[in-house]
Order: sequence, then C-alpha cells, then structure tokens
Amino acid sequence: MTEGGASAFEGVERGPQTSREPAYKEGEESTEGPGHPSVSALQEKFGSAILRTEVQAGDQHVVFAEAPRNCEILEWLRDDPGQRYDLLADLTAVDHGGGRPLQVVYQLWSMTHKRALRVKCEVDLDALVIESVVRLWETANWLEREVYDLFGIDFEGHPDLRRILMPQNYEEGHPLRKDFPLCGRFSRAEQTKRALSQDYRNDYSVVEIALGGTPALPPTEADGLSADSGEGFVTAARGAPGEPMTESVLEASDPDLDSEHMLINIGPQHPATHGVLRLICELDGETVVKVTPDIGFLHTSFEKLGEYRTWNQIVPLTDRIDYLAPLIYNCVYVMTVEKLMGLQVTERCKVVRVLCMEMERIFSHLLWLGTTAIDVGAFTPFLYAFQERERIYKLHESFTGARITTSATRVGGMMADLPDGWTDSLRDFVKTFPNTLDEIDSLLTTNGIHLGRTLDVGVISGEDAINCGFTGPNLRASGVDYDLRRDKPYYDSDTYDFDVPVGENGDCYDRYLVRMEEMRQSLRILEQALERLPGGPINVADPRVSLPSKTDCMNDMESMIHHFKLITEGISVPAGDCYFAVEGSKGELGMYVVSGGGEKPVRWRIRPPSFVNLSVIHKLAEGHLVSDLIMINASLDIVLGEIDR
Amino acid sequence: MGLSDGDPGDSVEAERISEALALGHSGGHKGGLLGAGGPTFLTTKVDFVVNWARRNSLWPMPFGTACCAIEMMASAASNFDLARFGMERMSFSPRQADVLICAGRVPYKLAPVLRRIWDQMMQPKWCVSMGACASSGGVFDTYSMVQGIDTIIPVDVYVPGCPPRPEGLIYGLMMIQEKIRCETLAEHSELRAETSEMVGRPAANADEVEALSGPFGNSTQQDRLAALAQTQRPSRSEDLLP
Amino acid sequence: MSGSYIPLLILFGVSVVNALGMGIASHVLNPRRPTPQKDMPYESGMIPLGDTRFRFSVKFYMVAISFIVFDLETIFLLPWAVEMRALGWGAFAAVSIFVTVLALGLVYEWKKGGLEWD
Repeated sequence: MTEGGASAFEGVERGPQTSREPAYKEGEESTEGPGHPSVSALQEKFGSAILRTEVQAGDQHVVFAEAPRNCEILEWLRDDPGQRYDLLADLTAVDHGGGRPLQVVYQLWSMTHKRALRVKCEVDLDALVIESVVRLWETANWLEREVYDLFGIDFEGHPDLRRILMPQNYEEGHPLRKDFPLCGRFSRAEQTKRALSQDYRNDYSVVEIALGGTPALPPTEADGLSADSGEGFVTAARGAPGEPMTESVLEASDPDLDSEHMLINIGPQHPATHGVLRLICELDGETVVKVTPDIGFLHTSFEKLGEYRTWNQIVPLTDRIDYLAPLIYNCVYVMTVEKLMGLQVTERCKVVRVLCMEMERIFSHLLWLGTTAIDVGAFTPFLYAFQERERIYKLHESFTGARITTSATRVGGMMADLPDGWTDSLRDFVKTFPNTLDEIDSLLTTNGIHLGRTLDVGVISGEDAINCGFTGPNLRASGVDYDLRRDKPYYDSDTYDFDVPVGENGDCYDRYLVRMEEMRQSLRILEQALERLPGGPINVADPRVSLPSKTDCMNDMESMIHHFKLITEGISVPAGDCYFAVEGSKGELGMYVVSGGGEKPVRWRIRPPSFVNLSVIHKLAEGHLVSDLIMINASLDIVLGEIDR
Repeated sequence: MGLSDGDPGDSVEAERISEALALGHSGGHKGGLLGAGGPTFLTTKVDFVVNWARRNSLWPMPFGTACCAIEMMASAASNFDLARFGMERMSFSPRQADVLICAGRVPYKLAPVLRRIWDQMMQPKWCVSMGACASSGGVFDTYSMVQGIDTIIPVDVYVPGCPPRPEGLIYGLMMIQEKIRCETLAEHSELRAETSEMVGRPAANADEVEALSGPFGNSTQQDRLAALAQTQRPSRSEDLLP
Repeated sequence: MSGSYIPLLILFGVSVVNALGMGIASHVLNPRRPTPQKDMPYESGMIPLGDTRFRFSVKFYMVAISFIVFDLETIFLLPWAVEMRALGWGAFAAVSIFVTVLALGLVYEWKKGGLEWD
C-alpha cells in the first residue's frame, strides 16, 4: 500500500509511533530506586565514558556508555570478578525517530551475582558504526546481524555481517527504522516480482556456489537478469555486504573446488526442521562438515507492526509469535507493560497467569516430545502427545474461545475470569496426565534405539552454553542451574515448591530428560497454584487501564468520557523502557518495550530464546551424521515463529 | 464419500460447474477433448471413476509455516483424523502430492519456495489456502508478507480462520473433493493447463496484485472481490455440501 | 505335474496385466505437462546446486557391499530351507560350512571396524 493514497486506515497508516518527547531530559539523572553496585563501579572506573545513568520501571538500571568504548566497558563488565555479567541476555537497537541517534541496547545478566544491567550506546544516524562484541559473547553473532539487517548499524569486527531475516537481495532498506513505511517502499506487485526471481545467487553465498557447482536452474532473461553478472538489479552477493560477485571475490575466498563434499539444503520445506528453517549442509558422505542455518522464511515483522498498534491491540499479535505456547507470550507481554507502568495486578490474576504459563509449558513440551519422537521414527508418542494436547486445547477454548490464538491477557488483567468448572477440568488434567507421561516415558527413556540416537549427540558444555546465550532447558541440560522462576522471580514463583531439573552432559538425552522432568514439575506447580487460587476480581480497578462499569458510564459523564477515551485511544503508558523476562518453555523469554508516553510503543522487542539457541547449531552438529543433525535440531526445541518474528 | 449417483442429469450440472471453474484457472482456451457434442455415457462413467479415485486418495502436501500448521497437525492426529479421507499419507515431496495445503503466513522470502514446490508438483494438482494469512495476508499487512498466496499460485479452496479449526480444514478438503467430483476429462486442457512460461511467474498480474493487496472497501463490506472486475466464480444458490 | 504350474502362470499373468494396465491407464488418462521447474531435482524448495552424477563417499560403498554379501547369503539359504528335510544331512553340512565361512567374514569385518560408519 503506497503512502498518500486514500486509505480507510488513515489513523493506522499515519506512521509508526515515534517518541513524543525524549525519553530523558538532557543533563537530568533520575535518582530514585535502589543503588546498583555495578553502576557505581562503572562510574568509578570509566569516568567520563559513562555518559549518564538512569533507573527505569522502578528498579532497572540503565547505563549510557560512549559508543567508541563499548567493547572495553562490556569486557570489563564481563570479566571483573565483582561484575561477572556472563550472559548477554539481549542485544538490540531502538530508533526513537525524528532524527535522534539510534540506541544499541545490551541487556546483561550475571549468573554469579544474580544482577541485571542495561547498557546503551548511541550512534548517530550519519555514522552508524559500532564495534562488535562477538568476541566477548558468541550470542552477539546473530543478534548483531539482526540489528544490521533491521536498522542498518554496522558492527566492526563481526565475522559474518550480512542480512539474516530479510532476503539477501533485499533493497528496500532497513525495515525497523522509523522512516521505513510499514508496507515497504516498493509496490506489492514489485515485491512479488522480485520475490519470485529464480536467481540462485540470492540463496547461496559465493563460497557455497563454488563448492556446490552449477545450479539446476540458472536464472533466465525473464527474470530480468543475465546469467553472468548483476544486471537488471544488483544482487548483494554474500561475500561481504554490498560487494558484487566477481571473479576476484571467488578467488579471494579460496574454495576447495576439488572437494568431494556435497552441498545440500535441508528445508525450508521439510518435515523434520520444525518449521520453515533452512539448513545448508556441507556433507562428507553422511557426516556433516559444516552447517549454516538460514532463517527469515517466516519473518512477519511483528516488531514493526507493534509500533502501529495500541498497547492492548498487540496482545493478539503475541499469540502468533510462539504458536506452541501462546499464553506465555500473552502473559509476558502484558507483564512487561505493567512493570513499565508500575501497575500491580490482582492476586487472583497473578495465580491465573501462573496457571496459564505452567499449563503452556506442558503444552509446548508435549509438542516438542511428539515431534522429536516422530523425527527419530517413534510415531506413537506423537499421537499420545497430541491427544493430551487436545485436552489443553479444550481448556484454552473454554477460557478464551480459541484453541491456539488465545489473546487471553490485557494490560491490567485478563480478558475474562475463568469460567465455572475450568479449575475442575484443569485439576482433572493434572491428575490424569501423569499416566500418559509415564507411558511415553516407558516408550522412550530406556529405549535402546532412542538412547543410541541421543546419548552423546550434540554435546555443549556449560560455559560454552552461557557464552552462546543458551537459556531454558537447553542450558540446564548442560549443567547450569539457571531458572528465571527461581532466580528472577515473578508472581511469587519462588514460593512454589518445585525442583529445577539440571542435566550433566549437555547432550540430546539430557535435554530430553530435563524437559520430561519439567513437565512433572509443572504439574506440581499447577497443583499448588490451584490450591492457592484466591477469589476476588481478576482485573485491577486502576483507572489507567480499567474500563468503568456500564452502569457508571450510563449515569456519570466522567465515566463515559473515560470509557470513550480508553476505547478509542487506548491506554497510555508513561515514557520509559522496560525489559522483563519469564521462564518460557523454550528459554528466557523476554520483552523489551520502549514507550514514548503514548498509546503505542516506540519499540517492541521480543527476546526470542529459540533464535539464540539455534545460532549455535553449527557447534553442536559438526562432525555428526545427518540423522544426528535432525535429532540435535529437534532437541533444541525451536519454533520458527519466534525465531523469525 | 461413497459411490454416489451417476445419472446423466448430474453430468450437465457437472459440466456447467466445471466450465465455470475452468475459466477461473490460469490459461484457458475452450474446446473439449472427447468430442464437441457433449458428454456421452462412456465419458461420464470414465469421469466418475477417475474422479472417485482421485478425490478419495488425495495425498496432501503440507506446506505448513505457522499456527495453521499446528492445527493441520491436529487435524491429522487422532482426534480429527484426516486418515478417514484417505489423506493420512502426508507427502513432503511434491512429486507424490496431489493437494498443496498452504497452512500459515508466507513472507516474500518464502514465496519462491512455495512457487517452486507448486511447480514441481505433478498434474493433477489442487491447492488449499488454509487460514487468513495464506488467503489474504491476514493480520499482517506489512513489508515482508505476501498478501494472499493467490498472487503467487492458483488456489482452489480458501479456508478462513485464524487458525481455522480442524473441522474447518476438513470442510475445505471436502470442498476440494467436491470440486474434483465435478471435474470432467473433457475439460482436461483447461483444468490442467500449465506451460513453461506461466511457471515461476506470479499467478496474478501487477494490477491484480495491487487490487488484492490494498484495503478493500470499508470495514463493513469486507468483500475483496468487489474491487476486481467480474470474475467467473460459480454462483450457487445453495451449498453443495449438507 | 503340469497342473501345479497353472496357478503360477495365472499369478504371473495377472500381475503382468495389472502392472501394464496401471501403467497404460496412467499414461492415457493423466496429463503430461513437463516444465523445466518440474524436471529440476527437488531440494526442499530451493534450487539445488551441482550435478546428481556425483562422486559419492566411499563409506556408502562399504555399507552397500556388506549388505550385498549378507543378503545373497540369505537368498542362498532360502531354497535350502524350503527343502531341508528332503536334502538330508549332506546338504546340511555344506550349508553349515557356507554359513561358518560367512560368519567368520562377519567377525573379521566387525573387528576391523567395517560396521562403523567412520
């Protein structure tokens, strides 16, 4: 849809939300909130390189560092014994719009001291360059590629800086910038035409083409290209960003042209990749020499779309990100916004959300179990798991009306209270589900074939796992005891009596065992939460978010106006930013929202656990057989909707 | 679906419907293969047998991307069971598939893959667009999403929903079966039209893509077809299925 | 004696007619629309690189040759097994020697690591 045309959606198409006011005032430092040892240590050590500090959302400390010294500061934060921020939870960027500099945001977490810190570095629009932190945290590899792709910031020293979510020949620009229109710069017909060009050079890097050989279908005249060089439109071949594919690039990359290795694609259309994932494998017979994941085949631009939606309108979008555990996403999103607003929900709402999240964990793990088993040939657990999932679908449906796309939460509460009998159905599920779980357990856990496929396959050590950004069951299987329910508690999660299963070897079998045990522990939490479920209202009666009752509206002008404004404009969230994470079924599921004080977010960032978990598949799978690659991919429990967003 | 009637009166309706359907497909010169005068007893019987065999042994190609894929998996699982339609054998290779079920949202990066899979499927082939995102772009009118896969491949049945319930998908598949039942070998060349030039190109030309992708009327009249010129969609006063 | 072969011939005839019939019916009834994209090898929706006439890794050869040897052993054992009683002890001894030789070969291959992929 082109801009300026007569549109029925004028309000929506006015453009993405930009900050109405700067998120801070020059020279002003907010000093409320508890002190943070790292902040004071940083100021002491680096002095003028720390431009400012602030406290957001009550207790989140943010440090603004000088962009040229970001690596130095972050390295000190990672290595100094008093700081030890060994987990890079998230790396993203924010465009506030209006010509303001872009902010590169680093979310850090220290496993040893159990502290979080946010570091921001500002880069000017005319000099979008900053040093890469890949050498500090392997996590940053894909995260920086994503920031490059969506914002256009160059990361110096990055080993492989090229687009990750958009196609390699994408020419419309960098989508998450504020001057980029929602529907893209080209017309739909042009986008369709470009998308359907049969040019294999968009899909493979220079080295891969040299290794693989001639394509089965060279591009034709009709594609607007000639077979030898980039005429028609320039394909940014993947030697380096912007560098066209020429003979010299081919020579410089020095491929082993005589190699007997085979180059194949697994996916994107494949039953065993758990979604539209493409793995480009270099094989020596059956052994995987090198595997490169290619993602972006499901990139739906949720984050851009969020900038055009009011705070509550984003909730239906959250279901569709991780469609295997929609309620967790519904919950974490509103929890982030509520934290930014400083809004406390009711006790009943807290317990209901805990019920929903733990139920979703089982829901998601059941699908993981079914599909992983079917990947290695065990069909029965798939059927059993799906039969159990049907019971949870019924629970979803009776509560929210939808099986998958639940949209159950709102800022300040839930869409509705639990229907009568829902807790009884859930209690019934909790009582009978262990039977099926035991049965699947007996089929797989001591099964010789399953053991043979999973023992010592895809091993990763604990320190590597932390450095690569693993979280969730994958990290725990490698021996690292980190669970956000216990370490960054929310909704009294640390008051529930449950164990956190931790593995030893970090292989596929341990990941399997950890998830099986997690399902049992979730059942324990569900039982306890069902006991604790208090009565009372489900939605908080806070005028910022709650609609007045109908009787009030009919009788009282102020209530009528309040209702009207909340419906037509949406709720309004004060300026600031907030990062909030929960223990999702796949790992640390975080959301980072930046508000400019308006009814729509300036930036909505989803910290996707699967994205970070998948980025290290090459480490896990190289040297194994192709069938092991499939098992490793399955054991990471990825969901492409979350990876590609 | 059991062996139903095969009386001559049925074939006239079948011919009318298939004529209407055939004109909606890409390509299309008229002219039957088995005689210009009309269907004979023998051709009707052959049609009946061929269509019966085809529609009861459809092998779906599940092109599942997102949430709709999960509902498709649920349809194939024990509770809703596609096996009773002869569709339990999900074919992930296009060479062995009959019906492509595009379940889920399709970004432009995935569009060539979808097109290639469609091109690699053998005739006869049909396509089901499952869900709002595959049918029209759904909630996602953004820079990266295809606004309906019918701009890329020809679609036979659209199943609305976000995601459609498994019953909805099954209804859509039954509609495909109904469509196949009404086909005739006399219209072979139109129904199975596919040439090298058409392959790989978008199914809709530039104007159609723009019209299909833009907003359609005001929000109370959500009929995207109203924006286009008259189409040949068949007008049925009553639904064919009970 | 010849009567016992008639069912065999009928079976043979029916299977040939069946196979040919299905082939011919498909040929006549089914549409043929070859296009370059259809003839391209399928690789999960991407354009595959390289020729299918490929120098395969020698490890596949090892697996294939082991399979052939032991599969042929089975094929040789089957007719003997059908007429085991009629053939008597002489044939049993011969077959035992045959199986022992191949079993020794299997042990040798096992020890040499021929059964491992690498």
